[in-house]
Amino acid sequence: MANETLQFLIPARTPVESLKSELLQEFALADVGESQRRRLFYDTFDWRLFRHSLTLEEEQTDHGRRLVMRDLDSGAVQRWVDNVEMPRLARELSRGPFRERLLELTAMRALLPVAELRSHTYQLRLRDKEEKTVARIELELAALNGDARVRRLPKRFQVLPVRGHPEHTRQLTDFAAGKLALPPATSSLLEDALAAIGQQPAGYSNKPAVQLDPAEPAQHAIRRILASQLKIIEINVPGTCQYVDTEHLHDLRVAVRRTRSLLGQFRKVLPEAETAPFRQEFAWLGTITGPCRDLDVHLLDFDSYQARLKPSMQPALEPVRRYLVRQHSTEQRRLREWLASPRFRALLANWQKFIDTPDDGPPEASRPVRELADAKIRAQYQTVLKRGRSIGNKTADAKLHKLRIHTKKLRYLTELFRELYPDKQITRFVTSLKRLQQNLGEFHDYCIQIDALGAIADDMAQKKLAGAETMKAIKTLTGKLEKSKRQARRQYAEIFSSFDEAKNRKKARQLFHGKNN
Amino acid sequence: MRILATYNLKGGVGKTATAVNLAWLAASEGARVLVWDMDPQGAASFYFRTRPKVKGGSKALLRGKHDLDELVVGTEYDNLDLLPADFSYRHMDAHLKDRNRPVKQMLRLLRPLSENYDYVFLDCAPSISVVSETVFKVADALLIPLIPTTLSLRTFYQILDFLERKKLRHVELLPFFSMVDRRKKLHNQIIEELPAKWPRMLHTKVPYASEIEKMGVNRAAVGDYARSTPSAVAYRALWNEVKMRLGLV
Repeated sequence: MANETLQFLIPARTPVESLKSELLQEFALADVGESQRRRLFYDTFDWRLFRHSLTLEEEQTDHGRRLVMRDLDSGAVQRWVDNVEMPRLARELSRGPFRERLLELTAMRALLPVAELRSHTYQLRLRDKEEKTVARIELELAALNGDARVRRLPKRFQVLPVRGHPEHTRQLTDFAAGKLALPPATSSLLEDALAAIGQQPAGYSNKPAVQLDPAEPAQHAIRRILASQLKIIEINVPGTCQYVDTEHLHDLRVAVRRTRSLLGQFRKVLPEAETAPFRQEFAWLGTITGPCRDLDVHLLDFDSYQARLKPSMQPALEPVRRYLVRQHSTEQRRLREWLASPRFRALLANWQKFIDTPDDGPPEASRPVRELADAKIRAQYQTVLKRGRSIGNKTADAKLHKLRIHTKKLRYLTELFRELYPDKQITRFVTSLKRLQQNLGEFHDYCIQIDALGAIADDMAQKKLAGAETMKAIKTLTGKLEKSKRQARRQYAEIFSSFDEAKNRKKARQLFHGKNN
Repeated sequence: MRILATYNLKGGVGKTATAVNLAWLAASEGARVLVWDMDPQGAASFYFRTRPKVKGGSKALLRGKHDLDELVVGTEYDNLDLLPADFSYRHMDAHLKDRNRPVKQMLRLLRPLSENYDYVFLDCAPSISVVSETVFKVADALLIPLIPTTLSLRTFYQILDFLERKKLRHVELLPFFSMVDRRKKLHNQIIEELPAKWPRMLHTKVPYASEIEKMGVNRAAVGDYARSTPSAVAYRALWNEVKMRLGLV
């Protein structure tokens, strides 16, 4: 059934009424009637639903409103929920399977409207002797809504199967393709709608694949990669300023870190005198975006903080949430001002100009990018191995943090240059690196959370924002986080030694053409 | 996946209406739901306009000749499927007895469904048998509709006795009053008395109403054709209470 064509296009000149008559002559169909629908499609900024071949829409008819999750290609309903308005975030829905599925797909990303259609639909049902519907037909005339000009989309003939009755579905699709000679729809309704408004679905990814030629001069390749990161920064500024969701700022910061990492690692590829001020300015950008991100992380983690406490103690933590929200609002206002400042605008404009103006002067500028990427990844890999091996049970926490930074740099390098390597091998390498990074990241998060909770408790006590119960809850939570931190630390040895296994080193050596490990 | 069984030793108490209406409500909240009509009378299948026929009957089904998934059919509602009844289900007890370890066998049948469904409603036949005993063991909760009459109370105590004797204590018991007629003195009296003895009873009372009887004519869930009636409201309240008791809200 999955590969069967269920959607057909109705030629513009074919009246739907005549098609309906032909169907009614051929089959004993129940004419359910006509309905007007307003279909408002939603997805996340990074098209998480579309990437899973799903659509999410708020559907409004005379009978009411419902949220519907459909299969993108077949239009079959996957899940629906009655009488509910589209929330901003999946977690704002009432608890239940619809929320859980949507949360699983979209996590902390906001649901944004992507297209709005008004459609007139003729509904027919094929019924058996028990008067049971065994297949449905919808003839849909949809038009884009949203501006003064009405843009009609191709008319659609859709067969909606009912489970357990494939023969009836086949009868209808055979009739559509044979007698009615309708061409199959090659794109979904949503894709048609997006094409009509000039939108590209899945047009944004925080991991853009920059096509690289291994022999390309390093400078050109790196400038192109830097350009892709600049695009990520720019595209996420409005969402960050409006606080659409936490991930705009996150993606912006990751792009800044990747940029800084490249600037630091490729000093002989880009003209040092010109890049030095940019290094400083991107460091500034990292600093001014930090407080908001830290507060975002605390707020995202807040439910898990509460879940660490016994139910009777959980409400005592609420003043902390309120404190964080207030702090966030202050920091968000400050961040918005920074991102509207002449300094920030100048940074982006000058950076764009720099990227667009190649300079063949630096010693390694014209070296083939693959060769240089190999060398840089090898060197960074060696640093991670060396530092990782030197960490024992009693090593200071600071050393683990340093190692975390080095693994991050290695991750950025492998991700930014991944197009130069065979997909399977580089994915395997990144996966093993991710495991190590996750452990170090968890350990770091616990350290940060413990410190932050200490500072929050002091500030709240000073400002008389927390009673004894709240202080006790913070203390209990800190204790639990300390325990988790120790556990993450204990797991490090096993995770690192797996990363450092001889067979993994051999694979890395082959992948990055190194000789000595 | 949660398995909820509608059960009573006594017939005609509103088991099937409960299974159908709660399944419809669960589906309208975004859940993927399956109703397994285990009663050879096939009332749930009738409500869902499906012929009570299963390929190979209960024997083939319990032998695992077909996956349950292959026998499932869609209904008038999105995300609400049915495993129809079959007249051979009257021999299900004997067929289940033939199998070694019936509970394991039943779980083996149900487990693969967990990927496709959030809830499975088992609409049981009114009897105490190997089948019902197996259901008591595999279900997360037993929804027991009780008409507030002396006979109905008697069967409720028989069920409790049976569960106690068999040491079946894990299953959440969710009895509630069904087909309540407030004009009847006896109904009112029992509604007062039983919760005092059995405080864990659900509070919702489903009325005796013509809208529910019309399910047989409309062959649909009450909420679908009589959305704002007291019966539809009662089933909604019942579903909310069930979810609350099972920690799902």
